[in-house]
Amino acid sequence: MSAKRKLVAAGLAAGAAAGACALSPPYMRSSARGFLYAAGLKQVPLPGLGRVVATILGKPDYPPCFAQMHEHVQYISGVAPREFYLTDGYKMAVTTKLVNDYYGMDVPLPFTDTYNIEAEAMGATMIAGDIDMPTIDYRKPLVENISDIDRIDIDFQPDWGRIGYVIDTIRAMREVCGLPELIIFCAPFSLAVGLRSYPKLIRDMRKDPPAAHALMTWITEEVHPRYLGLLKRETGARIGIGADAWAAFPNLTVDMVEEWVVPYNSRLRRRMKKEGMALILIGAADYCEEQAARFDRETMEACWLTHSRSIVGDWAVNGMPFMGMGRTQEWPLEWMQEFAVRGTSKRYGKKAILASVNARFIREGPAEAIVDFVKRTVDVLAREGKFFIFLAQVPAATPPEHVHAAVAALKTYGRYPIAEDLDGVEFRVPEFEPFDVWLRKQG
Amino acid sequence: MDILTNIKEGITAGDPVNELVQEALSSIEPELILNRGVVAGIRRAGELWQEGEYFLPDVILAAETFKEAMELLEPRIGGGADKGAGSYLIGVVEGDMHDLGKSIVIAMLTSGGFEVIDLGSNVPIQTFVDKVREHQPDIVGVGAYMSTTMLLMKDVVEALEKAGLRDGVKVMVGGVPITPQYAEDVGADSYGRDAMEALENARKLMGVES
Repeated sequence: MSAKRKLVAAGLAAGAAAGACALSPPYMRSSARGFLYAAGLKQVPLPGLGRVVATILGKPDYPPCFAQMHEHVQYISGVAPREFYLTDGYKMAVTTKLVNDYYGMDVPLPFTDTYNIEAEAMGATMIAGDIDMPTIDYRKPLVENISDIDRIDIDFQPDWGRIGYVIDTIRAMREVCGLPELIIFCAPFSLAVGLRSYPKLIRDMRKDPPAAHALMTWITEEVHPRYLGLLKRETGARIGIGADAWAAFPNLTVDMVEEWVVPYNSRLRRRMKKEGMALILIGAADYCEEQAARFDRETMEACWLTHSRSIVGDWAVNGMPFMGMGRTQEWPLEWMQEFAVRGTSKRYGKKAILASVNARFIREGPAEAIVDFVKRTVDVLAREGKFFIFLAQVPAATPPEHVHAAVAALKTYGRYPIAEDLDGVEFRVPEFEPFDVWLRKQG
Repeated sequence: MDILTNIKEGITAGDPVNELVQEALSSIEPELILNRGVVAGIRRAGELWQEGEYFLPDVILAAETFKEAMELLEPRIGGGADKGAGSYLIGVVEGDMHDLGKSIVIAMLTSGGFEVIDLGSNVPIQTFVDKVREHQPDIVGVGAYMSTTMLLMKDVVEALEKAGLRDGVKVMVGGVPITPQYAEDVGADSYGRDAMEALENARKLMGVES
């Protein structure tokens, strides 16, 4: 971009941001700061969401960090599991925000049970222990035979199952967390698993494809539009994020994702667009192979491409896809970097990367090893910007010092411009208070 | 191709084999159907997975077909099946319904010569204790998928100790969040990263050559 065009872009961004700051909700003001920062106004302090925006556009002050950690939040806060997972979505969101702030993370993610809400509301049998969130009893699938879909009531109402809890959570995203209202829902394929069970659905796909297509079509054309439509009416949310871990590799091969997941995600995205909603569908073809001995670069790269297309659509392949490490993977960092750089586009630059720290590793530590891992990850992946740390799962009994260490390492080693030699950067394991002590000081 | 080969190939491919098993039962000893048909089929599926030819959906289909065939065969089998490796009681802890991994582990253990008693998923701690007392297995396998439910593994081991049963049974743990370190922390004797490793480690615990 020429200097003149950069100046014009900065001016436009500044003007738009100033207008947004005066009139709009907190999340827009935070985002506007990110635009201003990316446009060159580096003296603008970045709030969490602004740091995310600045990172999508390039380099922020340091990479943002956020986490999926509901099990950990419930565990260290001591909120009763029943309240946290079943009855009080607002309290869950407030608690998540507090733990997010305790660790100095950038964006709280107040959601818990992504995969079971719709199925439960439709009548699936659930099992709930004393210490954990409910799960579907897959021994008794709601769709025992494909003809069962004719008898399942999908005229969703706010008082069905935990839909009221979800509505409270979505409202709290804006009121408590300073985010836009987001509907976190179970993507079509994963919902099909929830209703039919994984073995039965796989058998349908292999041995009785018309039955499997009938189920997927019903979910995409009937179930989701009604469910998402209800949540939109109740909360005003216009953005939905569909989670699809059941469609990750190796649960499905890339070919299976292309045949059974991507087309239905596209259909649902188009359908909901007509109703004023934008959908992002995450998780399909996510490369979740965990054994290094089975890593296959060709499959991994095919997964990344399909994953990107599944998230936002075909334009993503050459557009602005991101690669996200999941919960327990330890991908070769150099492969990721080479792929991200190879995928550089004129419009969006390098592919964005959401790096993670293996959930088992962050639980077991030690803190020094976690710091070393974050340092190496920054060294290999973060230098060109467009780099986030997303702790895809923080297990319940993770020692808080491990999370504090990861966040501090990111803020120290990831500060832009990143030092040529990270060994020369001074790092101290941060001192911190136990959560309950910290909480009392927050008033 | 003989009927046992058809059963074997059906199990490996995840095709329904119960009609074939029924047909075979009219003229072949159930132990032979089990060992040369059903077990041979699931063993081949495991080999294909190890060779990178099979992915999870293939293994799951084979394991499900195996389970269906076993339900048909088990009532007809006396002591003639190859169960020389030992007996293995297995279940997923209370509050946890994730049992896909367990299905595969059961299939692999059976193929490796273990007699497996499946307690299912969502198993209360006391049930583990009661069933260990009742069946006196060589090994008890405890599974968990979630980072919350995994915390119950320690309680299972402690309950076995309190009941005076721990010395008479080996304990293995497994599931996505489990590590060798965690297995040691909860007082287990071994763990399995996946079904193949679970079989390998179970055989080691029993002193059986792989």
